[in-house]
Amino acid sequence: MNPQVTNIVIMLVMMQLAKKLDMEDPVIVNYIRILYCSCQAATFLIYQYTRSKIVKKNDMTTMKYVAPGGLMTGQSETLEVTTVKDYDLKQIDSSIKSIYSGLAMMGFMHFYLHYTNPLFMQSISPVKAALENNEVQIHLFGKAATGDLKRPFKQSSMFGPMGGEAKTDKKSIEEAEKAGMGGVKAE
Amino acid sequence: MSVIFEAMNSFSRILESMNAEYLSYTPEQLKEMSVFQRLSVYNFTFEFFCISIIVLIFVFYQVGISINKGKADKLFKEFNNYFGHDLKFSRVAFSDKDNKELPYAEQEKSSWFTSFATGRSSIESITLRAHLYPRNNPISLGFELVLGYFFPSLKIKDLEEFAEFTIKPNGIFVSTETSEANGNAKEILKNFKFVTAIVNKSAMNESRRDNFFLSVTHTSESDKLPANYVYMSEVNQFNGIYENYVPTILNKDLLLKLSHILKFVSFTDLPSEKPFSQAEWEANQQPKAVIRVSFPTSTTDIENIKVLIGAVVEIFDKATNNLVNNKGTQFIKPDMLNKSLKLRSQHLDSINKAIEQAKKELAAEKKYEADKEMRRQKKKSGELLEYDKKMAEKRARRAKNKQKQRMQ
Repeated sequence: MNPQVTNIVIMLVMMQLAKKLDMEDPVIVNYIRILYCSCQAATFLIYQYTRSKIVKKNDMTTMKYVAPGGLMTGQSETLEVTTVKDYDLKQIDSSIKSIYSGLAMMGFMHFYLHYTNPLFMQSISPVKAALENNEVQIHLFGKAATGDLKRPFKQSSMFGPMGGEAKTDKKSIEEAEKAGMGGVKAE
Repeated sequence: MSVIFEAMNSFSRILESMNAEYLSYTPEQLKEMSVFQRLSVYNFTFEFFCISIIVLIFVFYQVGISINKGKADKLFKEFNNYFGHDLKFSRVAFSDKDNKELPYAEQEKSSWFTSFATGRSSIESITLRAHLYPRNNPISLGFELVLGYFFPSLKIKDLEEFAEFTIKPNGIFVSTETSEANGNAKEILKNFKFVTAIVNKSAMNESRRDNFFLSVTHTSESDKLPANYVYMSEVNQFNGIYENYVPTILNKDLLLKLSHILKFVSFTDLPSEKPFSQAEWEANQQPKAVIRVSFPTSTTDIENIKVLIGAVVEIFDKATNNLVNNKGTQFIKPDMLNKSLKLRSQHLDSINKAIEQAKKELAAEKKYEADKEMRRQKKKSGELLEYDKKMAEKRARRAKNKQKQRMQ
């Protein structure tokens, strides 16, 4: 099933469950906190295990692709020359960082704004996202890096890829390789 | 904001409560007390805390600087010795006004170090530049590292510790100390106008991003290199320079031993910083070899880097010798250099195009601003309506004439 559809289904189910819980009861609040923390810990462990598998595999195959420019930043297309290992590590590290930003956001909402509902709503989604992550699919579930799992991965966004897809055709790469975009002194 | 003010308020209340006893006395009562009595009543805990923070900052500063200097001393002593004794440079490092030898020059609170060696056949100079963490300020360092982790685009350049060796050839070859130098050095140096590099795969992207000369090259893998290295060169034929001149020194074994610290070893005449004009492009062309490594700390790593530097110097030695003495065994052939030249002219064209484009945009912007200002002035004097009417008539006349021409 499409991950975005399952996300909506999970959200609706969680909303119904949240209605039945008394979020003012300190015991229930504590249980929700435990649920949220264990889910985050599980997510973290999944990513870290995948990370260790990537490091252990040490795939040094060279990868070249032209990364799309940033629509908001006005940055032009850039050539990325990396290895499969470094690409995978970059992807998994950004997923790990998203756990930290989620924790910071939830910490603010729960401890400062005293909302418990988002804590409950956001407990299952990170685990689901981790299990659906491309790197986890490849390294943990052993799926082949073809089709949707072909590197560089397609950007999944509700509004389509922002700024375009990464280019992997020979002509684009050759042009970007000789473009001389490096060594620009920072302002 | 209110959160910050609340916190500050409660902090000042805590400070006041620490001296509740002292503040309970009236000024008259305090006046009656002796200095010692007043001092004994006052609670100095906060003042002592502030002083201890200042002392701690000072200790961190001193310790950080001494750690950096210790690391630099070890590295520069080793390499200055190597440049003087093994590579036979006549002048190594610096001396101050009292003729005291300085192994290196340091900058920015002992985080940047530089040494220099010159006076040798084939080589104009070797510059060793090293960067270490600014350990004198651990708070700022920690902040930079955390910021760099979460926001890589905000990360400052040269945050990591590294050493960079720049070896510049001089196009002069003398076999003995009494031999006469050749007078065609400039001609000889023209043969080093190309870019080729061996780059560690883990540093490909950052090396291309930080160095203009690598960003104009083609990346290719080769069986001649260990699996964790690639060639980056303008023309693939240049990749053979290492194998041709120093096959036994610059081999797979050495590269493998250095794979955890070596970023790249390159031959180039283009600058690291991207030139933005033809004048900059021409002024910054200087043949050189650049070796960049993570800051080496172990003796084994230092020894391996010495071997690598020796190999690069030997390439310059052999190539210069062949070219000066016309031995006919030159690796660098005119057709290879011509290919490289063609690519250079393309780059120069694209730089010139970018300048032209920027000039056009600037002129259009200026015209727009002038037009805006003129309209503002006319509006002020009430001539705007008349001016707009005239312009509309002019446009209509032009359109009519165009139509007439088409009809004919």
